Amino acid sequence: MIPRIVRFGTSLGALLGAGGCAVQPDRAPCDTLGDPGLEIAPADVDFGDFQAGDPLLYGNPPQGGAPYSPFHARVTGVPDLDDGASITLHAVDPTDDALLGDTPYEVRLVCANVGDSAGQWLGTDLHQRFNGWTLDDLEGRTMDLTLTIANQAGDGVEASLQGVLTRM
Amino acid sequence: MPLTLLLAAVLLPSPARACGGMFCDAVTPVDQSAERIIFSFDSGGFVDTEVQITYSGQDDDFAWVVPVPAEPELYVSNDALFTALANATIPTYTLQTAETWYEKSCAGLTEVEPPPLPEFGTADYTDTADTDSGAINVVSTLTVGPYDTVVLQATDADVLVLWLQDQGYNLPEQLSTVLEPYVAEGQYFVALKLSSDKDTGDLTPLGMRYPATAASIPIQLTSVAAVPDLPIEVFVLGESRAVPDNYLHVTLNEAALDWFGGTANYRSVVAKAADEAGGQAFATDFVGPTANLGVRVWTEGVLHEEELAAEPDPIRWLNVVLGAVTASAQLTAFLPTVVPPPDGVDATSFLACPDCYAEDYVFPDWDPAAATTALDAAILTPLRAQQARLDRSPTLTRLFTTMDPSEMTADPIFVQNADLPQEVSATHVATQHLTYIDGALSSLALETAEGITYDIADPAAPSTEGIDKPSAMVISDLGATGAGTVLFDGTKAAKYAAEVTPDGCGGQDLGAAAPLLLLGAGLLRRRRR
Repeated sequence: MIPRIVRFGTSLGALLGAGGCAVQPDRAPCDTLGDPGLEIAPADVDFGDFQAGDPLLYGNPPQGGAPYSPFHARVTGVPDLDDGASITLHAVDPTDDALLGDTPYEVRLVCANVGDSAGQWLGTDLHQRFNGWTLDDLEGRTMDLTLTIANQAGDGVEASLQGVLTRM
Repeated sequence: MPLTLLLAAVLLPSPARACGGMFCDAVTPVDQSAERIIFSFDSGGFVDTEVQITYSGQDDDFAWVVPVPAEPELYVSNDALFTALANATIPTYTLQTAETWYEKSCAGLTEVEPPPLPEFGTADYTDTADTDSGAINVVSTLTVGPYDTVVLQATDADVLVLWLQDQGYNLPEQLSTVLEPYVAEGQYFVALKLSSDKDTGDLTPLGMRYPATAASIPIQLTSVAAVPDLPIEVFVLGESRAVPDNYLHVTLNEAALDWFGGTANYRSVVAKAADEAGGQAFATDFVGPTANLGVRVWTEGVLHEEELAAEPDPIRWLNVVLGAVTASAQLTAFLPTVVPPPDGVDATSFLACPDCYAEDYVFPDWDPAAATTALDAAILTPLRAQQARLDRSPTLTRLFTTMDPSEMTADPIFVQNADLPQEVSATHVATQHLTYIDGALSSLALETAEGITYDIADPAAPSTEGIDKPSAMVISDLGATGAGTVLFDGTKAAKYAAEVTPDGCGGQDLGAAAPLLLLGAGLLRRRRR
């Protein structure tokens, strides 16, 4: 996994050190903790335990539709992600540069105050959808996944991982 | 707006009350109007989805499109099960009162007997009452109840919308944008409009049955016509408790409820709790055995259809049906079609008292067999099917949330989880501890079911508004197995414990002073002798 920090656009709010967010009562200080950082892991793997080349589970979503692969992520050092976060999951197979999926959506992250993730923003159900792909076509493919998460002001973080698609 | 779909029903039951002795319980059910859906899992890998549909607008404008993961079987449903399940599991909040009376002297506070209560009624609480081109593959067309339906697949959302518009479905242009992800995923679509001889008064819940291991609400589609903070109520019948799989779960902080105002802010608290969980979360209102609910929408043997089919008197036929069949909007709409009211009498008055019109009633072409057959198809068959789904399901889960259109970016999925506690009560109780000194109300503390006590700043005008608190006590990530992961624990977030501190001599804390008070009480009694 290669975490790196990026900035999307200009953030006047960040420059002023104020996000303008609605303060949640007694929330853990996710807005102020640490340097910007992003961790991503498959939903069934604890943060920090995933190694490059490990299996990345995928399957048909229980409600039907295109195949998907579930991930979770946690963020530090980016303010106001409870006000709105732009998330993009971008997946390619590096062996033939095939685009496996490109999934952008908007969510609001939760600031955890207990457990291993206390003090960090959590995204618990981030699904990479493989529109146009069948389960058989995806089996055994190597996937380079890049996740970007940015707040409304454009401050964001990016991380990547590589694994082998394996059926659930 | 040409398309106005409110999958909603308004039920405003009167709250039950119990009041007496030293406890006065104000039992308040929450406002129940919401978009309602019943999911029912069966052991064969199918999910039944029943959607309650209400609509305000022109008959010709009614149109509805819903994506489903597989080719569905469509059927007419009935309001009866929605009503029965909702009424049996209404969240109720009971504020009970515990009073302690003291007399103050320079020796300390002495606990005394309370003055006699006025006859009943120690509190007065207001009742809380309060939607062919190559890109189209038509799988089937069918008339289902009052609807003309079509099940189809598409490879292009724009073509799909245009095709449906050409077929007379009044759909907004912007629908294609929200349909795109479903088209990309290869989902099926069910489209329906009212049959030409039907009007909006004939609307009935629609049932869909399809193979799936999870239940899902296509909420992204709803966003086109949704209102802010759209209430969504989900009933799930199955082997075990249902939980949101891709949405978070919130447990409400009961201290955020306005206990002193009949918990009228329940919806607002749920909305805030969901917002604290990122805007995509459900609260569990109830989980429990269906067998304990006492809910039945159909009982075999109550109605003898053979006798009914031979009944020569339409008024007697009507009375038998009204007495044996569970009431529903569908029954009320159906009966006048087979036994029309006399001229000049409206259907509501007629059905309220058929015997009142028996003498003058002349029904020239009464065909009891045809009427009974029609009754069976329109009403009895859906009720039997609902009862069968209820009977096969040991557990009912009731979930609730509110969502803004901007939050409808992912369709919530519900799965069953046998590892979590299989009972969540809909009944909630808090206690207000009233302390009187020298006959005057001195302090008030609110104790929630979690055992957390809050001092209320102004006992004379009590309110929970001043308590600094999150609306979600617990935010957790649940799934099909295990106990899930707690992300936020409200008890770790705030100073919750607070002592009851009456305005007595020396400003002493009652808890610490309790032994002294007992001693003082003994001394006082001796002096009085």
